[in-house]
Amino acid sequence: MINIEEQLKKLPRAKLSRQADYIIRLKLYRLFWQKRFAGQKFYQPKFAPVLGLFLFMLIAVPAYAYFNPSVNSSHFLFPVKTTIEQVELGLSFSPVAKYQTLEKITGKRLAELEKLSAEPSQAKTEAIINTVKAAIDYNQEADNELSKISNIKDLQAAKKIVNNFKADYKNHLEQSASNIGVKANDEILGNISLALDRFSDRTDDRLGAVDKLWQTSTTRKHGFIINNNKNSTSVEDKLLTTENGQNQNISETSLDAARQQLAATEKNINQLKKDLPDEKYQADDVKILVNKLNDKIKKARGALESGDLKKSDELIKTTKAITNNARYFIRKNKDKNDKRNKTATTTPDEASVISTSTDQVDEQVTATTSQEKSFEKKTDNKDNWKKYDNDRRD
Amino acid sequence: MSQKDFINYYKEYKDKIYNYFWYRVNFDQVRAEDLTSEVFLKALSNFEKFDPNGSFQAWIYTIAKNHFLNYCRVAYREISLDQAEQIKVDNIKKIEAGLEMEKVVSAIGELDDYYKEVLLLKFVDGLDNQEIAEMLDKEEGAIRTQLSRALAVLRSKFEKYKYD
Repeated sequence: MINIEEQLKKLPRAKLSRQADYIIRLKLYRLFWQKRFAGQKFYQPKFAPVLGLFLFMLIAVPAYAYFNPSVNSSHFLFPVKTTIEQVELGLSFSPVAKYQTLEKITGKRLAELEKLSAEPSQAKTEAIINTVKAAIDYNQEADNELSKISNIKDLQAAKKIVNNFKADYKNHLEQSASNIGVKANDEILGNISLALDRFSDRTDDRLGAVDKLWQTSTTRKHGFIINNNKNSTSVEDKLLTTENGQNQNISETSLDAARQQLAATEKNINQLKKDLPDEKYQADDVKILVNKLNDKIKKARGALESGDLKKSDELIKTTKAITNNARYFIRKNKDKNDKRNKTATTTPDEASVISTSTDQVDEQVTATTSQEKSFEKKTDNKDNWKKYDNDRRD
Repeated sequence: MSQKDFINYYKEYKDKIYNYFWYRVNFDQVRAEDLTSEVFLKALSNFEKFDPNGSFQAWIYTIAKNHFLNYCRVAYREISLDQAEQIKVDNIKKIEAGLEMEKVVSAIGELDDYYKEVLLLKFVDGLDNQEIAEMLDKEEGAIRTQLSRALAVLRSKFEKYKYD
């Protein structure tokens, strides 16, 4: 007799195939997620305002950081701004696009500078210096990109870009210089003056360079804009040549060149004094600036005599730049809306130093009147300003 | 009860539920897989209704049974009885269980639905009498009686096959 129960227990058992198993698991996990998120937690109407606010912040904060010139290197949102700029730069593929983006970023830094300088303070000194330096660096990068442009169409586009940004740059810098004034930190004066030199005169050079590229595009050699720098008589450039050992007598030549530049700068300063008439420019500002320039010249001479060519070159460069752009820093007599007197200092000590110094200058200006035009000859006055400068630096 | 608990139950019962459908859809692999998938999705959707103190096996088999009934209502409308019989014969041959086993399967197929269900739940799905009773909404004693009757019918059928 057949044991039917045994037979039944031996009936075949099927197993779910691996493929079907994976598909079912996938469906189950999808349902888990749907159950977890759909209609239970995030999508509940009571969370809608929070979600809306979060989305708004996600869009509004980067937009605010990117477009607002108040977001500068000392602002906590500045990294957001630079990240967006880097993404923008990364998405600019052609040299023209990259050039345009770099010019745009330079413009942003200059706008930030203007905003920072509107109410200058000791706390903002570092931010101002960093912002000017960043603007110069981005512009240098833009120059490098410009040298990579080779076809005529792109050159035309580049020329338009140069034209578009030129006026903006100049306005921002002139306004910044005017806001900061002659009483500002030496480093700020130097950097803004260097930037002014770069963005006003050099913009013209670059415009000319684009024209030249346009005219000679068929036979042009890459990188000639950078080559313009090679014509520089900068002592630093010559020092580099010395280090390369290309010319053994260059050191003496460099010293001569530096002395010549120093003399030329001194001559420019003297000319500046003549070019800034008392009736148009505020005499005390002129005096402060000239004293600063003389102080720099003295330091440059000292550095030159001690053989520190690099330092003397830097001092001469900044002195030259400040001399060239002096008119932007000095207040004009009719300028009644000047806010600088209110905002030039922040700490009480600094304020007292400046007010004392300014009072003394005022007294001396009254005393000397038109008989004494050469300010550097007045040693007592010079000492006051040296003291002021030293205090500021401290 | 968490996601992890459900996945553990799935791992334990996936083959049993697949097997349950495999026998009931005439050994059609694809259809059995679909039904298994649907049952587990239905179970997950209602997992919060499952009482952790109760038996998951009884709960999932009840869902499988109800799902299968729903499936039959639709399937019988779509397919004729002759076609269903042909599919069944073809699929039995595919399982390659041996001649003896083929006879057993065919004999089970010829039983009344109620006997067939009780036998499969007991011997193929491995449920005990109480679980079968719970699932079919009957008394445990009634299940025991049905089982012995089903076995007797099957035995007689099998004897008949032997002499044929």
